[in-house]
Amino acid sequence: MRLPGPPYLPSLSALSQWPVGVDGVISAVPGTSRLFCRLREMGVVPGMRIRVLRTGASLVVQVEESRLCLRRRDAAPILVSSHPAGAAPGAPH
Amino acid sequence: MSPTIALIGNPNTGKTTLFNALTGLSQQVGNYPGVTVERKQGRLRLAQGEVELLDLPGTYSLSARAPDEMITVDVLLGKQAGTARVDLVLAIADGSNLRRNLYLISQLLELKLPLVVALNMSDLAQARDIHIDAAALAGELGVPVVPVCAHRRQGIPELKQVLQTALGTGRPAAPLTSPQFLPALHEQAARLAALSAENGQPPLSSLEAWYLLVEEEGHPEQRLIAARGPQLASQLARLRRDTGIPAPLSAQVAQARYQWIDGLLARCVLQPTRLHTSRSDRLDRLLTHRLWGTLLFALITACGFQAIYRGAAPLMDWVDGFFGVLGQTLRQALPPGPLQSMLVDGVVAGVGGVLVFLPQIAILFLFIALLEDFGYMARAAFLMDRLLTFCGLSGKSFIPLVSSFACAVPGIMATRTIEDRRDRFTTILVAPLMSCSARLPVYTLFIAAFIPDRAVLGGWFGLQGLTLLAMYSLGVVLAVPIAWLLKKTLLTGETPPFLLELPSYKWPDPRTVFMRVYLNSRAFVVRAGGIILATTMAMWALAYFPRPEAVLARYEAQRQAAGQSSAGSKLEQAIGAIDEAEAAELLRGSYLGQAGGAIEPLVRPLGWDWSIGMAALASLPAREVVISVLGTIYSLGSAQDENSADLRHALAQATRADGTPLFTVPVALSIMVFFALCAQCISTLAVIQRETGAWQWALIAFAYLTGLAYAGSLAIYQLTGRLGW
Repeated sequence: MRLPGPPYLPSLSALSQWPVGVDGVISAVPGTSRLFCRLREMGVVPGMRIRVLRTGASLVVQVEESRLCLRRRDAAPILVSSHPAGAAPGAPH
Repeated sequence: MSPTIALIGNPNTGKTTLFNALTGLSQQVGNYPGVTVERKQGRLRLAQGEVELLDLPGTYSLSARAPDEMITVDVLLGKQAGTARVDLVLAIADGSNLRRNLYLISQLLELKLPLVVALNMSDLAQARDIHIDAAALAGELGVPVVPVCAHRRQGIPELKQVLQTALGTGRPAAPLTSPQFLPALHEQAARLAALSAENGQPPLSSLEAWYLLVEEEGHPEQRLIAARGPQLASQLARLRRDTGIPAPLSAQVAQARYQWIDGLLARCVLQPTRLHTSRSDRLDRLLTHRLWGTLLFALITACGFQAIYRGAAPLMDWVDGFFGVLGQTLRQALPPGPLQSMLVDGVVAGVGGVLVFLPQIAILFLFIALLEDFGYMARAAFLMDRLLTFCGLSGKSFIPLVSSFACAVPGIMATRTIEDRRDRFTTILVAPLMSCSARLPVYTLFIAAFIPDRAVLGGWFGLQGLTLLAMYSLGVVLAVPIAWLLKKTLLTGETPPFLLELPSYKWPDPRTVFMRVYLNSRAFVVRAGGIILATTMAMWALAYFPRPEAVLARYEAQRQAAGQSSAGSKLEQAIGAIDEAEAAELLRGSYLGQAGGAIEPLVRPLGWDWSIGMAALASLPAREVVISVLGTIYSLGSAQDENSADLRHALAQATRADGTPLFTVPVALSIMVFFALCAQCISTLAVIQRETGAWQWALIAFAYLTGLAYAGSLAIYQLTGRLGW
C-alpha cells in the first residue's frame, strides 16, 4: 500500500491516525450511515485536501475551506494519503 | 396573493442576517405542523409590491434523512400543507467557502424553479485571497448571481432589483445536464416514475424518483414504503442494481457533484493553491485548547451568569416596582371583593411575578446571541463534548442545557438543533434539572433566613454562598447519571456521532442580535399572558373560594368590637391583625387549604407541615408562587417579596402545634432541595409536551422529577436531622 513520499510521512492512513498540521488528500470515505452521507455532502469526498488542526477524543479538521469537528472513532474509516505531486484537488482517484 | 420567495442556504453563511436585512421587523415565527421545525416568514418590499420571504432552515443538502429535513424539500416542491407554492428560490452562498455552498446550489438547480444566488461574505473571501468572477459564475450556473455583504447592508438594493426581474420573467433555472450526473441513474429514475404512474398511484416526479434511488434508506424511501407496501423496497433495490453504478449511490453522486463544482471553480475563481490558515484558526489555537480553552470557557460562562444576575437586578427592581404600584392602585380604585382580589392577587401578583424575570431573559438571550453570532458556541460545544459523551449525549446538548440555567423553556426549545430524536428527548428530560432563575428567589429566602452567615474554608467563602453553589450543583451532578440511565432504558441507542462545523469568527451583527433578543423576549411576554395567566387564575380561585359567610361574619363582628374598644393607631393595628387572621383562616378553609390538609401525611417525613405542603402544591404553575403563598399563610398577606426581612422573621417565628419552631436548618434544606429538583413549572411541562409531540414525555418528566425531589428532600431532612443540625 506504500505510495512514494517523504519517509517521515505516512503515505496512506486512517484520518484518526493522521498527524496534526500535515496536509493530505482524502482518498476514501466509505459507509452509508447518516454521518458519512452528511460528511460527503459537506465536502469530505475523495480528492479534497485535508489537514488535522487538533487531535484528541474529537478531531478538528480542515477540509478545503471548511473546519469540521468529529469524533476520532467516527473518523477512523476515512482514509487520507500524502499529497500526490502534481495532482489537482478534486481529481478523481 | 403576493408571490413567495424561499430563502435557503448552508448554516453559518449569514442567512439570518440577510433575512433581517430584507424583511426588518415584519417577521413571524411559528412551527410547521407536526414537526418542531421553526417556520420563519417576513415581508419583503420590492419595487412592484410586497412579497413573502420564507426562511428555510439552514441545510447542507436537500437529501432528507429525517422528517424535519423533509420539510425543506416538501416546501420547495410545493407539497407542504399550509405553505404557499414557492415562486422563486433565493440561495445564499458563502464566498469564502464557495465549494461546499455550491453543493446545495447544484441540487437547487434541479428543482426547475427560478433561482437567484446571493454571494455573501465577499469581504472575507477577499481577505483570504479568494477572487470570484461573479459574472462568469452566473454564466456557468445560468442564473443571476448578486454579490452582497449582508452585515454591512451592501448589495441589498441590487439584490431586490434582480429578485423583482426574476419574479417578472419567472424563468426556471436550467437543470444540470453535465455528463458527470450519471445518465444511467436518470434512466432508472425515469423508469421508476413510469412504474409508479402505471399502478394508478399518485405519480412521482422525475426528481422525486431520482432522490428515492440515490438516498438509500432516506426519509422519502421510508415514507413511500410505509404508504405503498414493502414490494417497493425490492423494486428500488433492483433499479439501483440496474444503474450499474457501484454502491453506495449517494457517495457516487456526492463525488460527481464535487467534480462538477471543481471544474466550475477552476473557471470562475482564483484561490490560493495551499490550504489557507485564517485568523480564526489562530484564535482557535487558544479557544479550543483542552486546558486554556476550557478555562476561558469557564471564565466566559461566569461572566455571563454575573451579567444575568447582577446586570438584571436594577431592571428587575424597576419591573417589580411597577407591578407594586399597579397592584396598589388597583386595590385603592376597586371595591374589596372577588374582582379586586382576582386582579391584584391573581393577575398582578401572579403574572407580574413572572414578568419580573423579563430582564434576566433578555440578558440571557443577548449573551447567547452574541456568542453564537461571534461563532463561539460551536467551540464551546466542542469543548463540552467529552463530558457529554460520558453520559451518552453529544456536544449538541450543551447549548440547550446552558440556556436552561435561565429558564428551561427556551432551553428545551433550543434542543431543536439536535438531530437524533433519542438525544433530543434525553436532553429535554434533564434540562429542568438545571437550576433556573425562578429557583433563585426560593434559595435566597431560605438561605438568608436559616443558614448562618459564617466564613468557611479559611475565610475565602461564606457558608451562605457555598449553600447556594451546592443547590446549583445538585441538579448538574444528578443530570449525569439520569441522562446515562435514560439512554440505557427508555431512550436506548449508541452514543451519537458528533459532526459540527466550526464557522469562522466574525463580529456579531447588532441587528441580528437585537432581533434574537426581541423575538425571544416577546415570546416570553406572550407566554406570561397565556399559560401562566391561566394557571395563576385557577390557583387564585382555589385559594380564594369558598368564603363561608359564618367566618366572614365572625371577623366582621371582631372588627366592630375593636372599633368600640380602641381608637387611633392602636385601632389600625388591631384591625390589621384581624384582617390577617381572617385571610389565614379563609385560606386554610379554601379548596387549596383543604387539599393541603389532605396531603399533610405525605409531606410529614420531609419535615414539612400542611402549610409548606400546600405552598409547594400551590407553586405547581411556577416555583416562585411558594413565596407569596407562605407569606399569606404567616398572616403577612401575599404582598411580601423574598427580600422582605418580615417574611424571614415570620418564618423563623413560625411554630408547630407543640410550640417547637417549624423551620429549622434541616427543614429549610429539605425545602430548597425539593425546589432544586421538582417539576413545579407548568410552562416547562407544556413545552416538553409541545416539543416531544406527546403528553407521555411531559408525564414522565413530571413523575421522575417529583420522585427525585421527594427522595432528595427526604434524604437531606433525615440525614441532617440525625446529625443534629
